[in-house]
Parts: sequence; C-alpha cells; structure tokens
Amino acid sequence: MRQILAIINKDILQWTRRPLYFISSILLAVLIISLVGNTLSGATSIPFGVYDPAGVSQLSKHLADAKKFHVTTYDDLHKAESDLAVGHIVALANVSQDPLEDSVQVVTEGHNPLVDDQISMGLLNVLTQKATELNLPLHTAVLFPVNFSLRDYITPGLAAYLCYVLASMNLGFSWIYEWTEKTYRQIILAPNGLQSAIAAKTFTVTVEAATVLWIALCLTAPTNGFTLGHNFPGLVGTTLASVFAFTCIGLAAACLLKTIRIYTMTVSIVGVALMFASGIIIPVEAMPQWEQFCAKALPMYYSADAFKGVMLGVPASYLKDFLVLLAWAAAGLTFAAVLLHKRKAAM
Amino acid sequence: MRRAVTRLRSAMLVSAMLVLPILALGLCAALPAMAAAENGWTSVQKLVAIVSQWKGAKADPSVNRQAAQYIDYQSMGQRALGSDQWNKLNAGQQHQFVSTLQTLMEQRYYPRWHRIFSKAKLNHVSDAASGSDTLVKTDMVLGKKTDSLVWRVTGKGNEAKIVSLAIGDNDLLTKLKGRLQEKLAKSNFSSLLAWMQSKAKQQSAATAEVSSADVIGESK
Repeated sequence: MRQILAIINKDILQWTRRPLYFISSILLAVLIISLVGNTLSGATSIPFGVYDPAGVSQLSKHLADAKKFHVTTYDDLHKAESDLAVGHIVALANVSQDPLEDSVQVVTEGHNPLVDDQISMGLLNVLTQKATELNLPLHTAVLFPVNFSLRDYITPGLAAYLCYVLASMNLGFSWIYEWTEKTYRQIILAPNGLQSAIAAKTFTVTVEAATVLWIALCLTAPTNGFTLGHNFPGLVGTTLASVFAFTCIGLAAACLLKTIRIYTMTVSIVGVALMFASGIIIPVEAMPQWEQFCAKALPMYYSADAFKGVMLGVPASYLKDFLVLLAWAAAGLTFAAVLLHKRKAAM
Repeated sequence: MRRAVTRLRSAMLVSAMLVLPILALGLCAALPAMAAAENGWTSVQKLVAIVSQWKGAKADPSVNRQAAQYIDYQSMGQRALGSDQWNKLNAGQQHQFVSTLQTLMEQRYYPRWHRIFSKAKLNHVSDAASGSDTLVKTDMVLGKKTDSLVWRVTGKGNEAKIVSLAIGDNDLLTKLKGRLQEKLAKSNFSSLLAWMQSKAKQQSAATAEVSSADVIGESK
C-alpha cells in the first residue's frame, strides 16, 4: 500500500509540475467537444430564402426559430431566384396557400448535396411540427418525445471518445517514457512492485483524465449550448468507469507497442476508427451488420450508451455497460501484467 | 310637309310598339340570370363572412349551421357519387352520405377557409352560366398574391348555394369525385360510407384535418 501511495504521489507531483501539459490536455478536450460536436450536429446558419406572398403562414419565423437557418424574406420571386443562383441563399421556399391547398416548393442551387442534406434535416421538423398554419400532406410523429437537441445527443458520444483519448494519451506517454528511462526499475524489482506500479499508474491516470474531461465539459457546456444532465453522481461514475477501462487498455497497448512513436500512431488510428464505428455519429442500428457486430464488441459503444443515459436521461443498460467496461479493463490489466512479468524477468 | 311628319310619327310609334315588347321580354329573361348571379355572389359573400368571423380554434355547430345554408351538400354529394350510384341509394343512405360528407368538409375546409378568408379581400369579377349552374368568378387578394377563384353556384334566387370552388385547374368537386370514385371502384357503397364515417369520427381539430384529407383529398 505504501508503495502504491508513493507512486501515486510521485505521478501527481509530476502532473502538477507540467502545467503546459495540463492546459494542452484541456484544450484538446475543449476543441473536440466544441468543433467536432458543432460539426456533427449540423449547420446552424444556412442562408435560406422564403417567398410567401400570401403572408398567412409564419414559415419565416418558424425557420428562424429552428436555429438552423439565416432567413431572408422576399417579396419578389425573381429576385429570390437570382439570389439563389449567385449563392446569396442556398435554398428558397416558395409558399403558396389558397382555399383549397397549401404547398411549399423548396428550390436548392444543386451543386452541394451536403447542403441539401442539411436543409432536409431542419426543414422536415419545421414543416411537419412547427408550421401549423400550413396543412401539408406530410406528417411526422414521435412515440417518445424528448426535449433535447441534436447537439445534446452528440456530446455524450464525444465524452466517451475523450475518455479514450485522454486515458490512452496520459497512460501511454508516461508509462512508455518511464519504462524506457528505467524509472520504474527499482519499484518493479521490489516485492509486489509491479502490481503497485500498475495499480498506482491506472489510478493516477484515471483521476487525471477524468479531471481534464470534467473541466472541459464545464467550460464548453455554457458556450456550446448542450446539457450535462442532472445526474452528477452518474456522470462521475460513468466517467471513472470509462476512463479506467481505457486506461487499462492503454496500458496493455503500451506494454505491447513499447515505443512512443508507434503507440501514438496506433492509438490515434484506432481512436478515429472507434469513434466512427461505435455509434457515436451514426446510430449503430443504421450500420451494416458487420459494423454493428464490431461496434457492440468494443468498449466505446457501451461507454457512449452509459454517458447518454446519465446526461440525457434516456434508457440505458447501465449494468451491461459497466460489466463490459470492467471486462475490458480486466482483460487489459491481465495482458499488461503478463507482458510486464516477462520483461521483469529480463531485467 | 305636314303629311310627311305625320307619317314619320306614325312609323316611329309603330316601331316603338314593336320593339318595346321585345326589349321587355329580353329583360324578363335576363333578370332571373342577373338575380341568380347576384344571389350567387351574395351567397359567396355570406359564406366568406361566416368563416372569416368564426374564431377558428374549435368546431362551432352554429357556424356550421349558418355556413350550410350557403353550401348545397346534397348536390355536392350527388355529383361526387355520380347519378348512377346515387339513384341506387335509398333516402336513408343518401341522407347518411350527405351528412358524413358535410362533416368531412367542415373539418377539412372550414379551418383553412377561416385562415385564408379572414385575411383576404374578395372582389366580384363576372358571372357565367354553366348548364344549370352559375360560375361566379372572383379575385382574391391575399397579401401580395392575387388568385382567381371560381365558385360554382346552383339554384336560383334565395336558394342559390355553392356546390364547388375552383382555383386554376384545382376544383374541389372534381377532386372529391375522383377520390370517392377511386374508393368505390375497389369496394362498394357500404364500405365507402363506413370509411368516410370512421374518418369523420376524429374529435380533435388537428387530427380531423389530417383524417378528412384522406377522404376529400390532399394537394399533390
């Protein structure tokens, strides 16, 4: 126990003596949550024109309230079409209402399928749920209505991804560096030294990475407009479990890959693949079968599920999520311990 | 000279005696058409006033009763179903059909008409005869948009009632007829009536417009 506490004390002192590393970790987390999160949740200022000569519908107001469009109202259809052609607006809604029917014709410039896709996302919601003055032959309904936005929905997945990034980076750099410099030599050769080093290192990295993540979430939540939810004990527990699991996996990878260069490259590539394959961006149910199988075999999917549950209040399989994370942690620790025992014998 | 003037006066008198009755006869023939046209326009104005003044939030039986005085649902139903099918029905079935059709029309169009006509200005343009009906052509100015509306009015005098409304190629009665005939071709009158009655049973205004659109038709 004394050994563990001594190593923990050393690691935390080192961490506090490197403020630049601490600040850059927070900056990395803030950038990922802000920039990646804002990009994934879609455009928020699409220049959109509305031509509604009857003036009965309030489509302009509803589109503006959706916070996805920058709305310009036109009195002249030809002016609106010429603005569309030169790119002042990227889409135009031509509204027609008469005693027999309502219609909305949406005209886009056509060269950018990504813009068309973004417009569809915002427009469908406004036309079918908000613009009640228009009676259109298109209706949507929700079985379980929720009161959070797409931005709120993206953030838990990013939090899970950041648990992976912060844990693996913190663990990998410090462990490989200290192992290479033989800082741990005396510790490991002492009785129970290896177990103490592993326990202390996983503890300190878990605390460091979790602290950075919480600071980043608190800094970005007010500015980016997403919710942290009301279940703070759950958020703390989920963060610690996720970070611990990824720390143990990082330790196993560090013991296997041995050099910082190879470790960094591998962890970065795997991280990007995990992010896309874990249902953080696209729902797992919408992926091909083989991808779904991969997603559900990996820990980030379960970490994201638990984060969604605690931050958004949606149903989540907490027990299954924690068991899978613990299983991965156990596997990582076991693998690391086996490799390290072999290397200890070589010392 | 005096004889020429006397002869001229006699000729004028005879001409007048011949022309005036003809003119009177013509006027007597035109007057009912004019009256019908005026009554057609009057019916249109009264209907528009009723739906405009309605609050529009909830169905109002008194508004429905008043509006029904100016819409000929019986004729609408008969024309939509077709005379062959109509003649096969007994009085009870006809009454049920017309009553259900009226409910669907009230659910589908009255809120829309309230939204539109309460903000629009309607101007009478012209009238034309179309068989036994009168086509009352009006211009509707709504915001910066002007649409030409043609109201088909049946009946004469105080019994002039609206049976359809057309804007461009879009005619209410034609759309309704197409929808009902389509349904009738796949089943029978009883199924058609049961379908219409199930749609008409929707209680809330929001679902009522959606539901009645299934019967009366929606924009393409």
